[in-house]
Amino acid sequence: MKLLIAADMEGISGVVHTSHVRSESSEYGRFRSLMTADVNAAVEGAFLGGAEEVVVTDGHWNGLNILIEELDPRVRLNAGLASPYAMLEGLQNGVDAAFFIGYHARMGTIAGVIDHTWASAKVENLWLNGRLAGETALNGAVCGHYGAPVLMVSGDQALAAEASDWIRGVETAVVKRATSRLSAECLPLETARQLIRSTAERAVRRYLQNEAPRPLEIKTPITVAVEFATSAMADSVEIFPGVRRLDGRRVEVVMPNMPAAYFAFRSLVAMA
Amino acid sequence: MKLLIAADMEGISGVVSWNQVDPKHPEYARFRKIMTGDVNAAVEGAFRGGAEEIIVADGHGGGYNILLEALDPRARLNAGNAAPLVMVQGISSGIDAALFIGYHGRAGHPLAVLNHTWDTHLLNVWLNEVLVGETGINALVCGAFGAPVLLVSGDQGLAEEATALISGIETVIVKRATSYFSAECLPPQEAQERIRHGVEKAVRAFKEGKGPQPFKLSTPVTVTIEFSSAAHADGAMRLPGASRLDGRKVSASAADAMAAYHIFRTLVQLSSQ
Repeated sequence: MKLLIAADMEGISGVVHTSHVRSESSEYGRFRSLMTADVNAAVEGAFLGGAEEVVVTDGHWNGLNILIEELDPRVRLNAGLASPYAMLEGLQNGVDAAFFIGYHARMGTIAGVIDHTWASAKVENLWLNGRLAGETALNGAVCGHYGAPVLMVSGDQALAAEASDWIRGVETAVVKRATSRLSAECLPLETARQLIRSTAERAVRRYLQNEAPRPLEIKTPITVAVEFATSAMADSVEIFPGVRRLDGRRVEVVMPNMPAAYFAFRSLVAMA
Repeated sequence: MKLLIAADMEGISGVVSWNQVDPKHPEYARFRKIMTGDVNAAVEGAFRGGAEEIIVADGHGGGYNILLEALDPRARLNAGNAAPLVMVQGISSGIDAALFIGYHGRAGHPLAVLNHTWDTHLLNVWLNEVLVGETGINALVCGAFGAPVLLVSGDQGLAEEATALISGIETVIVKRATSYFSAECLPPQEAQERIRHGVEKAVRAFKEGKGPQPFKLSTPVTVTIEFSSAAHADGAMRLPGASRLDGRKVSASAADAMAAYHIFRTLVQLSSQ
């Protein structure tokens, strides 16, 4: 069984502020180490549960956060987010299932630590076929296209609720309880990692016993609608093939399948 | 007869350096005035030739270069390059023909002042395997709206490029490039006299049914871009349906001319982010 561990940073144990996840901040050094530790806990749990091969993808910002010198030596690391599948790099080469570690709630959530959808300064809302989606749903559906179910997520309680809403039966490791966008009651790190480890182990074991969640499938063709922060951003994506302007800040485009929808969404955000 | 005058800056009389077309540089103020002068010469010539209505589109940089207060008051100005059709904004408003004033040779042109294609990180652009610059790209949009490009002004490199692409196009050479950053320049008054005269002749010929045909390509149109580095090509590959031809080359197919134009700009935008 081959597993993709897609890691982000806002949902990592202890992270509550943007200064924790920005590489230019003096706090960042601490939190990239904690990020590596959360990922290691997931790797350990996955192997305990019966995974045979694990690929880790560093999906935060430019994908250069995880400390490879501290990473479990049994895994391969996809570093650098200019890769074709970005936060999900490696998925296209064939994996059986995925974990989302350190994930966060979609932009506009009440009490979700650093809630955002891909780019907080640009994207106010994302809809897939009319349903509000965050990175969990977006990335989960791309995994679904490749037949890979998302077995577990880790992050705060808002992320856990959002993930459960989209993916029935997904395992969730709640490592902190958000009390606002920039505050949370955090578990002690050892407790958080133990929780990630045991959840990961259970998630893989369930998968191997055919009790895992089903791959997240979205009906095709897929309508991707994006509300940007300003109408100037919507102006600058109007040239994208097939884009329709819905109103001042909203555009939509219809794509034949989920990978195309994922590429289109990322293109729109990059262009905005 | 309604005419679009699409203006760029690198092919304006006297321009030979990036500083002269950069709003942050003190030299820029001189050349935006000369740019307005070249455009005014084209406006004057067009009215003499029989044009009835003129729209000027400011197509350089942010599109905020032409001095409205010094522009011929008979023309409307499209200012601001965030406009949907950028350098040829206005073309969809029932334009009969277009002029390209202050244009420049395509990226990689052997001898043309400040040659480039849209952005400096593009090495080459092909539309259906024809190497094109901004003249070809914008002429394609004009062609999609049925408007021929009657005339270009710029250096001799630009003039050769335009002539090879559009048979029968009128060209006004305001400077003779001697390298990428140098040219033998006509005095602006003389350059503008030539623009006035060339435009008058071109518009008159159009009205007599003798001008060039609208620029068209066979469909579907294949858009191919070679970027200066593989990192730019990586970014462009986010466009669904794009194919990677080699390290620096990306290509995509478009159903028609306007789709090709939008795909071209999308690839450029994605490659820069």
